[in-house]
Amino acid sequence: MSQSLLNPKVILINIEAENRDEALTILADKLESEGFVKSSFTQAILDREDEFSTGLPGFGRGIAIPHADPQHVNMSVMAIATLRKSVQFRMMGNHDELIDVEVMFMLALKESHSHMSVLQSLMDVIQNESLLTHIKEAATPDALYALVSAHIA
Amino acid sequence: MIKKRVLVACGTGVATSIAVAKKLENIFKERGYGDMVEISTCTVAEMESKAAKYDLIVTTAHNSKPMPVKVIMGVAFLIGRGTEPVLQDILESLGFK
Repeated sequence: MSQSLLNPKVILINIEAENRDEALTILADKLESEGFVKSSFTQAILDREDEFSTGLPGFGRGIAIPHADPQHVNMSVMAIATLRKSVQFRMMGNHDELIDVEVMFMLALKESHSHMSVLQSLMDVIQNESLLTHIKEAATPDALYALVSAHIA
Repeated sequence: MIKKRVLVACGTGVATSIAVAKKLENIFKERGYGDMVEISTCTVAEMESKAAKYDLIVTTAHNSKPMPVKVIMGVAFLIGRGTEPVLQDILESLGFK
């Protein structure tokens, strides 16, 4: 049950997106093509982001943690994408504030409580400025995987 | 004594509400309120129907609906900055200070 939530197959480096929805779609579609989520997932992610935004001001770098309801998920995983050019997300809990997002951690969770420790460590990652910088500068999915898995069980 | 009940809500009830609940649980413990508070999580959609059974709601989601108990924004606990004023507000709202 405590198997890793990380998988290099769903880590994308320097994706090119014009806006938030395009960035979300690229990563969500990747999750679908790798079989982690159902075909309904991408739309669910987009709808949910509209209703409950997930941008967060990480230390010096905006991040987002988009996620959707468990019913759209086949197998729990956390996808990660760094963006070549930041896109704007609205801030979580405060729709008037915009965040320039450089890294997305997309959570596809099948159930809540089994991944508590992962969520906790993700929050620590978000609060770690130098780690976020290294994540942003990672050149390959494997390098990013190695970086993050050292911090997330 | 009767425990104070705190409801932590987020959009899906599977991610940020759990992270915030865990963080709050640790803070309550550290500050000696561990035995005085019970924390539950839910989705924002469930929040309205559950609210009346709780003393306080902490949420990470945008909420515009009126609630029968006080609602405090808990995003600060996710980003690890600006938590102290929010925590003071929570402790005050629960009657701990």
